[in-house]
Amino acid sequence: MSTEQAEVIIVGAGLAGSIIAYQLGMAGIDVLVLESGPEIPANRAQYLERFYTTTLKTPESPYPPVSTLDTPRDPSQENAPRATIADLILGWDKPEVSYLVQKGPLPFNSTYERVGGGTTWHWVGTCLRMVPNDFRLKTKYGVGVDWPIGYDDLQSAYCRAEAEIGVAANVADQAYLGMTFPEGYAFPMHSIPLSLVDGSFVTAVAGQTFDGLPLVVSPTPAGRNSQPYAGRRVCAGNTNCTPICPIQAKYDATVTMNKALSTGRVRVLYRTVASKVTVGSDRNINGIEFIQYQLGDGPPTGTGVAVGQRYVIAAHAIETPKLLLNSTSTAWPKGVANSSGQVGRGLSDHPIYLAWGLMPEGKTIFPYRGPLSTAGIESLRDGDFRHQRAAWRIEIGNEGWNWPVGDPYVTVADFIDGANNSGTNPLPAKQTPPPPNEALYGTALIQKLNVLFTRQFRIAFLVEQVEDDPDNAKCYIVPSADYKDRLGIPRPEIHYDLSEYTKKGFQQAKRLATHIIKDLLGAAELTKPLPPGTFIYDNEPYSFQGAGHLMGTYRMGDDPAKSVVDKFQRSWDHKNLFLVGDGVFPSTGTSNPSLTIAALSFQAGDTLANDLRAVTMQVVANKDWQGTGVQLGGPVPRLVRYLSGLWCASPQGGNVDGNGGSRHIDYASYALPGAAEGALVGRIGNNGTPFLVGDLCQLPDNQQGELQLCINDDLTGAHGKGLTDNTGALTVRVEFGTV
Amino acid sequence: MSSDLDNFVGLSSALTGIPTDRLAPAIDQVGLPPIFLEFITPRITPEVLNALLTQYATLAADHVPPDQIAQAVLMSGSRPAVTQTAQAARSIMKLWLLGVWYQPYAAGSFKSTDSTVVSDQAYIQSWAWKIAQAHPMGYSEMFFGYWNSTPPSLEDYTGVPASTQQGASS
Amino acid sequence: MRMEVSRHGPWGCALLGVLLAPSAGAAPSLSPQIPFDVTVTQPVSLSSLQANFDDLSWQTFIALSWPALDNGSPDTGTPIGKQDGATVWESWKESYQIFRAKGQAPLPWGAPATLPEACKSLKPGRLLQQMGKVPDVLDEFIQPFESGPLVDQNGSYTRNEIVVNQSMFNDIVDNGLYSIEGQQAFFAAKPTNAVAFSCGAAEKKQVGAVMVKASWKVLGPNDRAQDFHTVDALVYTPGNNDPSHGPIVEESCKAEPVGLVGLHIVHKTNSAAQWVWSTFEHVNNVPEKTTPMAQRTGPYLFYNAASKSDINQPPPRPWNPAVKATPSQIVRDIPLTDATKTLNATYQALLRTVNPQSVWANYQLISTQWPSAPQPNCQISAANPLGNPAPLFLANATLETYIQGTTPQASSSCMACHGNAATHVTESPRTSFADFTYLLERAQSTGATRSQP
Repeated sequence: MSTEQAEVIIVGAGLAGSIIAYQLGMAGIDVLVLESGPEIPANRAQYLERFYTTTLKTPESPYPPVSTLDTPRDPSQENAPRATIADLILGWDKPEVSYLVQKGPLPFNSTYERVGGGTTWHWVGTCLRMVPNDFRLKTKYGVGVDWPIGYDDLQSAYCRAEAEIGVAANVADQAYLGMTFPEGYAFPMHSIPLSLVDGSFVTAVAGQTFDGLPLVVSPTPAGRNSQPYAGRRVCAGNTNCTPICPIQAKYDATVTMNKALSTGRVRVLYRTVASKVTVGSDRNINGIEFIQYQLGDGPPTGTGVAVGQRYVIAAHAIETPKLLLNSTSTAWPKGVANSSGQVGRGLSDHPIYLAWGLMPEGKTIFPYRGPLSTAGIESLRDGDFRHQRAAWRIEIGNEGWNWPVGDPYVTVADFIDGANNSGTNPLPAKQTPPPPNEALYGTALIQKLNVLFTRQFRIAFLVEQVEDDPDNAKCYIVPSADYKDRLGIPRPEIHYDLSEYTKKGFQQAKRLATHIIKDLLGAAELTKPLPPGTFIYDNEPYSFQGAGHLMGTYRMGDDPAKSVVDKFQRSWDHKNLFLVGDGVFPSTGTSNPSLTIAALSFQAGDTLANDLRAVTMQVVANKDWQGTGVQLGGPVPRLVRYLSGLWCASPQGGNVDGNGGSRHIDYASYALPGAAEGALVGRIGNNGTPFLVGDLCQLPDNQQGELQLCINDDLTGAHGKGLTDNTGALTVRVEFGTV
Repeated sequence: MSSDLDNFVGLSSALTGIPTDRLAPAIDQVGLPPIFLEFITPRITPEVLNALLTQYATLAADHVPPDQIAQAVLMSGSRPAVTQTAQAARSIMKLWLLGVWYQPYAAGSFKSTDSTVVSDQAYIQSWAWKIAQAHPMGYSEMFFGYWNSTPPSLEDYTGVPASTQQGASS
Repeated sequence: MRMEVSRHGPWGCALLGVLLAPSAGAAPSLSPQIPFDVTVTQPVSLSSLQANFDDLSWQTFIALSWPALDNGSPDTGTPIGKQDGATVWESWKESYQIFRAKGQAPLPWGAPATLPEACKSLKPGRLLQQMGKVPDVLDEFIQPFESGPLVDQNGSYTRNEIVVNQSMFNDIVDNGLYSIEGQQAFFAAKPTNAVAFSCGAAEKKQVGAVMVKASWKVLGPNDRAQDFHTVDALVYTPGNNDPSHGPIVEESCKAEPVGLVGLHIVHKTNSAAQWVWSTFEHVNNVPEKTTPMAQRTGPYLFYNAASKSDINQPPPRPWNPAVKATPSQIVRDIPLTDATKTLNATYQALLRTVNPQSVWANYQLISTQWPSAPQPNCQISAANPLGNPAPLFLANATLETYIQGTTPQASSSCMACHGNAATHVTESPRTSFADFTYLLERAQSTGATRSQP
């Protein structure tokens, strides 16, 4: 049993773990990351080759462990297994093939990766912010749970996340449903052009409404280069974002992890599975045990414990609660961080209502081109209807019927074999008997396929998932009592269902889908339920797909009795433990979660960096420029925050805090002429231009040198007593973060 | 006297509708036809391959038009024929269009349920995507923003003009 | 600019105004004349065309490596290799002299290079600053390096540079493409404006746009300088503290002798709107993957039979050229063809007729990538933009070290990767198209508009 030490231990080298590792490395903090999966490869050839040559081109198809249909794997023989689509096809409720031990009643059909870089290897790249009302569902609509923070609290973090990922969007398109942006803000890159498929929707929904709200097509903000950015290529429209972008025009977390490594302060142990979190008698975490392996289905090669001053678990919304709940002890019988009993509770996804159709003859829209999705209908993500039913966003797909039908494979086979698995051979017809299936060849085959492929489209409604009784969630994960992986770690047992509220959302989605497809586009609708996620609601059959958005299993809140972490993502139970990722989301909203994960991760990184490196100091009134010891000039944002104390620059001015008094004196001998007397002012380096700090100030990021602070007063005594009659001091803190 | 390879290409063209000089251009830096021929030989068995190529060669020598050759190979009346040669021919069509070999019937160690992508090149060169006037998902040679414009015509992509019957624009 | 024409290239039908050399199968020669285009010999086949392009590569390599006069013209009074010295291509304009800070206009073609402050006090030399490359993307960008520096047996990083010929330089300068604002203005000025560098034309005796990328190794006391084309260089590392722009390093400049280990030559000709991509390496660089271990005698510049390091893996981060690193352990993934090896032997023998110790006989052609389905008149087909590159994959072990292989898009293919090059103005396919060079991405902002990382 080896011991590994660092100041901060992070479990998980995905989006959240990489961002935090990067920030902490930049702050000069030593970090050790434990990643259950294999290394970030030197190039993506092996992943891409696997994708090109597999017949089952699912989101996880490029990544290990390999998942195929013809040799179903046994998750009990794998060291770092995870949920896959192959599992769903072969038997979601069969633990002999399914990693997730699913108890239903409905299948949880989202998947994730366990590799260096995490699930961002296969995400689509959609970077929507949550809308303000997503954070206050309970207060506003009487359903769900409020977040302990709001949209405004995340504003600067969203901007930082957008810069790190590299988001392509235009502010003018994104300022809807209450979303605001800083004055003059521009996304890192301009918006990605719409596709021809999008264009047909733009035309069709112009001026239309649904549920009293306008139908508007908006370009989708995306972590995908529309310009050369951060050394990556622009999108070439490979139409393959999920499962893998061949040219890394789409951001993935390896970008950030590589930056973390370049600080020289971050180390990653791959093929290292965190197995148990241990707690000391002081209620703090005192170690995370791990098991290492070399081959994905080989024997363990070592065990150890990682010890640090702070611990971050960033293993996504199923593996994180699994680890916590697997870490029971006499002192902590409910597992680590689980006094509230909410760990593992509230497992959510964005269950998807998938609809598809065929444009009328002659109306070609040329799918299978461009990114997987470039636009959506976002205008119904919020509204009064949320009192009654779940909201959704609509993603317009550019990849034809690849998702709902499995095209082009199925339609090609239909017209060669004379079958009708696609529903187009023939199209739903009114005649009886219906026309026979065609079996074609030669020119006729090409022309028929062309005429069908060029008119295909699909839309996906990402439905908000809200529990009817959020404090007693029907959807949860607990460790399985019966099934383990090859390392002997209990696998996740999943209980999953959709609430009445969510199903009502599906009902409206179905109505709008048919309305858009048939009435507005004039197209033929071919939507039908797709197993295994099927249910009946109001006597109508539905099916739902997974969005890959597992969330909600260690929610943040204001009340330790009902939440797992506070608004800083710090565990209520263990002060040196942070849980990050979208497991902290108390509600799902309708936006793809990654951008919000990234924003929250920046905030968690700030909190951790401040825990370990914030500089608290006294600035005295009777000295001039005082050094803080903080070197500025890198890309890490820092601020100065007034904590306490009063000082006095002059008898007339009296005791004031960092904002100073009401006198504004313009003598050149003052630290900052024209600013309030007695205000806290700063400069960077001996020759830096002084600037006003006040009680809270974002430090300039474009100068190099040591931060110095002093009181705004006559520094040379040119006009009187100068500093000599000053009294008092302010206690301030130089922190990491943004105001 | 045409070789097996020539007949295989000619047959493939008749079945799929893609002109021979696109399936097997004179200067071919990928070289799928011999790779495909070698791949399928044990999988459909040399006997069936021989029968198929002979059937094609005989009809071609008689200057039977490609569509009629395809019909003779594939159909039994108006329904798909169930002979092994017909089944093999349909698998060959899917091989060209999708890059995937769907085993038509049990043969040797090959099970009738087997399906496999022959190679990464077979996938990225497969024709279904060009027939869609697009590109294989995961392989684009196009330039940024191309998806906002109408693609080149079906004829540019495949040598076959689009159907005019349904007013399809291209 | 793009034409919807038949995809059936002209090779099968011997058209196109391409030279059908009267002395068919022109014999290798030592000439300072850069060929204008490929010379096609009959009968045409994939392998005959490959041989024709490989000849083009060698003739171009020789012409570009010819000793140069002060004005950059080849010194026709002396044969190549009699003595090592400054080459014709070394007189060409370097990328950092074209894409300058704040988008400043480049100095005229003949003006001497401006040096960074840190180098000014050192004795004169050729400025080298670039290291390594982006993993999936070759580092043609402002960021000096983002994946995998190549480390020699002395633990030092290799250094790269890019130069362009006067034709390409003029096109960049005349159209204002050296700054972001200049690019914007160019595309806005006329709705048909597009980036299109000059195509070499045999009938007009015109050399097209040529760009060269060179990789250099710092010569240490145990290196035999006489085996290399050598140059006195100023090895410059720009300071950086933002990992978004590359490794965190301090600025430094050091005068060092360096030896050439790799050379890309890219030439746009009428037969190749997607350009002709030739690449050369020092013969001692690396063993081939297919060579049995026992036969990897070497000694090699980037491989050591006794090393236990993983093959073809970049060193772990952080990457700091100021710190000695573990030597890279590199093998060539795709072996040279027999035809190429024979051709190399022929040219090396020819070079040795001038001087048995000619440094230039220590270099070998790896291969040439050329479009096997080109369009006439140097056009690009919208339905087949890359024109069927042959061979499918090509990598220089010193410049595409860590992306060698045969996986489409992930493994090195000159045209496939460079087809993704873009300008800073990505409003439409017309404005995005950068004519297969990443150099235009190096343009910086004058400050008149918001600039990007």
